Formats: sequence, C-alpha cells, structure tokens
Amino acid sequence: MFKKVLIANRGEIALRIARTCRELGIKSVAIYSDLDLKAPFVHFCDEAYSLNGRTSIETYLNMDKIIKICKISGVEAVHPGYGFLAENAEFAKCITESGITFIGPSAEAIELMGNKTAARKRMIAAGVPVVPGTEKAITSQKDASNTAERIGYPILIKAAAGGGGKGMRRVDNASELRSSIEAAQREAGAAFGNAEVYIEKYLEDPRHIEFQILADNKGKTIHLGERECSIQRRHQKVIEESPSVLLDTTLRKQMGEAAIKAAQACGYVNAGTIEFLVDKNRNFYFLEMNTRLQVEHPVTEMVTGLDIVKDQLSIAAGNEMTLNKSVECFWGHSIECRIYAENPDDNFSPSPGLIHHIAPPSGPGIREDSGVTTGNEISLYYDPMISKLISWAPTRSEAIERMIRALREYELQGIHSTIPFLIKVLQHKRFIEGKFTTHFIEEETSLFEMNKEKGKIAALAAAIYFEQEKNKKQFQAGAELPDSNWKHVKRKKAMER
Amino acid sequence: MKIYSTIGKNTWQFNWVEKNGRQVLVENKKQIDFNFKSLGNNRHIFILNDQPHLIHIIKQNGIYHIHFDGDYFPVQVEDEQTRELRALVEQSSQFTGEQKICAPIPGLITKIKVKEGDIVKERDGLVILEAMKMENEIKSESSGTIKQILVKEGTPVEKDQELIIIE
Repeated sequence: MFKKVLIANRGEIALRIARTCRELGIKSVAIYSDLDLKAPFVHFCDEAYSLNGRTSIETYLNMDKIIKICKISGVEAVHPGYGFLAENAEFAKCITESGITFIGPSAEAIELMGNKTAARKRMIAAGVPVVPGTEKAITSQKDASNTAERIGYPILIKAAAGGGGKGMRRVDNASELRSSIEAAQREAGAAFGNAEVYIEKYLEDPRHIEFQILADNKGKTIHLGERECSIQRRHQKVIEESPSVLLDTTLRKQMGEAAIKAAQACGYVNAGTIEFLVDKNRNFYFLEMNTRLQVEHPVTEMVTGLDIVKDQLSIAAGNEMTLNKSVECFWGHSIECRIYAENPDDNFSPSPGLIHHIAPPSGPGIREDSGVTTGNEISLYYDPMISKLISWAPTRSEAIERMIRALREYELQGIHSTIPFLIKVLQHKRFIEGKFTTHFIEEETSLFEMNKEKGKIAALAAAIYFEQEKNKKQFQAGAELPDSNWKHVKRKKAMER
Repeated sequence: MKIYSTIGKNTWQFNWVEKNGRQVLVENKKQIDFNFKSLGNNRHIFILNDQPHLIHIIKQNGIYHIHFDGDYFPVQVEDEQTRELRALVEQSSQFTGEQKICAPIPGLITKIKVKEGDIVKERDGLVILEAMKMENEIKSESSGTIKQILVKEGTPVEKDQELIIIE
C-alpha cells in the first residue's frame, strides 16, 4: 500500500478521502486555495500546501502547481476526487509520466469515456444499448437540424466533454435549435474547455439508474449494485438511493451485466460508474460513464458495507480485489440528500455567504459527509454543495423517515439551503411510493408551497424577537426616545393636502 | 401595540397589550401562552402552547431570517406606524416608465448581448450571467430602448445590482 497520497481536490470529498487514508495509515497531503485555508480538509490532512490563488484555474485546475507539490511532498499517488481534474486525461497522463500513481483509470479510458460521442460509438460496438442520436459532434446548424428531424423532437443537446448537466439543453422545436446550440456550446466551452456538442433523443418519463463498477488490473470487473438518481433539478442530482425501487432481480442482472460489459469495453480499471436511463417500458440505455468516484458513492457503501475509497487505493496499489463476484443483495436501504447553498424559493439561485453556525444531525443510521464548519464561507468560485447527508435503515420507508428526522435536526445559519425543499420531496406521496421520473421536481409545484402552520410559528417568534429588540434598545438609550415615525406620516399627509 | 408579521403573501397580526404591568401577546383577543429565551449564537428556545421549538433568528437588511425544524421563513415585522408609513411611500412613488434590469443572483457577466440605443422586445436576451458554472440568460421584462448599460463583460456583480436601464 502507499505511504503518502496527495488529494487533488477540496471540500467534502477531500476530507472523505483523507479519512480513509488515515484509517489505512497512509499520510495524506492537502492542497488548498486562498479561500479554503479555514476549511476542515486542510487541517485534517497530515500535510497542506498552498496553491496561491482563488479561481479554479489558478488553483485546483492548475496541473503545473499540483505536480510540483507532488514532487516537493514526495507522494506516491494522487487521488483526484470528483470534478476539477478527476476526468482530465492529460492530468492522469502527466501524473503517471512523473512516476506517480494516478488513483483512477488509465488516461486512455478517461479520454475515451470523456468524449461522449466516442464512448457512444464504443458502446454500440460492444453491444450496450444507447439512446438514439448523433454519433459525432455537431459540425453545422444544418447537420443538427437534419438529425433533430430524423429522431424527432424533443431532443437534448449535450456537451461532448460534459457532465453534471453543464452545457446541456432541451429543445422542443426547430425554432429554439440555433440559440440552444449556441448556449450549450458557450457553456461547454467555459466549463470544459471544449465547445463540442451532440444531439440525443429526449426520452419521455425516464429514470436515472447507475451501476457502481470496481475493476482491478488482474482482469476482474464486478459491480456493486445500482443507485437511483432520478430526483434531479436542472439535470443535477439532488437525492440518490440504493437499491432502486424500480429494479427487480431480472432487470438488475441485465443492467449489471451491461455495465460490466461497458467497463470492459474501454479496459477500465479502478472505481467507475455506468449511468443508464430507463424509459417507461423498462428499456435501459447507456448514458455515460463517470471515470471517477461519484458524489453519491456513500449510499453504495452503506448497503454493501464497503469503503470504495479503500478499494480504489488498494486497486491503484496493484492489489487483487478480494471480492470475487458482483453484489446483488443489499443490506437494508440508504438515501443521500445533497444539501446545497441555494434558495429553493428563488429558482435555486446560489446563496453564497458566511456560515454563522452549523450543527449537523446525528443519531442512529445517519452519516454526514461535509466539507464545511462554522465560520467557513460558501464562495461563488466553487460548487455550492454544503454537505451530503446519508441515512441508512433496514427498509426504504424507515430510511425516508430517518432522513426527514435528521434534516429537521440540521442547524444551519447565515445562508439559504435546500434543506426545507428536500424535506418536502421526501414527504411527497410520489416519492414515498417510488413513482417518480427525472421530471419530478419540475412537475410538482407543491414542493414550493409554504407550510402555513409553521409559518405562523415563525411569524410569532419574529414578533416576540422584534419586541425584545425594541425594549433592549430603549433600555440602552435610557429616557431618550427615537424620533417618532408619526411625525413623518403627519408631514407627508400635510404635503398631500 | 399592533404588530404585523409578513411572510410572502401571508400576514399575521398580533397585539402587545399591557396586563398587570406586563406586556402580553394577543391574537384575536386570545392571549398567547409562550416562553422565549435566547440560547446565544442566534438560537432561541420558543415554547408555544407547551410545544418547544428551537428557533434561529438572524436579522439582515430589516428581514428576520428564521430557520427552525428544517424549514426557513423570511419574516418582515412592522409595527403600526412603520406599516402606515410604508403604505404612503408606496402610494406616492410613481411609475417612471423606466425598467431597471438587476442581477437576480450574484455572478459574473460573461456576455452583453445589446448596445445602448438598441430596441428590445419582451423576453429578448440582454445579458449572460454566469454563477457557479451555470449560464443564466437575463431577459427583458418589457419592450423598449436600451438607455444605459451599467456593467462591462467580465465583471462580477452582486445580487440586485443594476445592470441595464430600459426606457
């Protein structure tokens, strides 16, 4: 096993990786931007090196700086986490060429799966079902409109280098095509440095179900079951769970086999995820492969009892996997909620700012993977995720109840968060019954309604607080009363006469 | 003294009344039974009709931001004078025919799609605002002429900062 590992990431995932490193007796090395000096992952790690800068480009995306720190600190391996350079083939190549182990797949596999059009081609060749659409990136408007007409609207425009919903646009008719392509290209260019986009048929009532893959370099490839990630907003996952209510033993077996085939088709090694869309007739289609650790990996860990980061480290160190076959039976049920610094009542607009106070919940069956603490700031420079809350229970309904209990316990001051919204989703009849698609959030307007009973309690508390505040002020000011507002009212009225 | 708490479109009216030398809170002539104490750190224990609540209150820009029980409410509190004063101000402010386009969220201006003097229609795209890696197109809410552009491409903006004035 490695003696020292650099974590080329920040926030909750950097801390998550560092925790496993410590349990395994591996020294962890943090890198941090100027804004992250106070973040928990920095002081948790055994060594911490400054990246001197604020923006992602200056810091966590800066390969030269990171490789230099690798050499100074003398690490044997680099864990890229997710996002930033995790799916950057050039980074994996540079690390490897510097004589350091990249904890993840080969640069070739990253490159192949990172290019969505090339991946589609490879999957078709391997006999894995894919969504109908273009095989290559769009080269002209005419090309685009021909394809769109052929497969029929609505269609999806997606970034060839994409992921996380960035550079993705739904188009319902020909008149929106041009502006949507332009917007998607701009967004893709800004986010990935590659403006190529392609077209896919837009599936009706789809569900997003993915399989966790583990592969070692001794030729063994297995899966650890599925995660259902259909609860999304703006194509970004909000709630994930394992197992999925949709799958039975037969469909799980079919999809699991397809997932293993997909991973093997690109010579995949280490942990990865095959994402599928499942339509209303239970047909499944390969969507993409994420060649890294997923944000939502904890739900798989909870129902399998594994530590995926530990497996990643062990595989990268050249060890053979101890697991011999795929996991098709799960221990209970697990749900993850992503808590974002966003205002759900204002179209999920970002809510950056200082966290005055944060006290995450605890108690039976609750795990919290967080990257922030009181006094930290959620900045506009990075992802707005505050933490991931994970519940485990013997059954799905108990896992839901447990999650609601924990969310109600969560104390967070200073910024908006998606906590109130998440509770409403978990309490929704369709969610409880498991009858939802990826459109659930846009379809259910009741998720944005205020609970009036609780509103009244808040109204009362504010009225009491207001009165106490006023009394305190008067007490401090002694007999001196502030200028009466009535004076202004009278003046105003006098002027109107 | 009458007091009004407003959340969105809902307003509750309460009354502080002096009774036996103490201020009590009354709603619809019924006295409200409560206990309210600060726990420090903006946290308060609020026992209402024998039901306990842990309430977080932060006052910012005149709004009481209340977090409790996994929920959040921005509450505006006014006494009678302030409420009346505000009603008067709202009455007297006249519509100027100018539309100010403000940033709905903080972010970075990546593209300005119009020039001063351009004529725009309702829902025409004006500015691309990037926040947390997502592009948001800010559209015109009415038809008119671009009178003034107050920002430059590549500059960061605050929430509610004025970007463009349309006449």
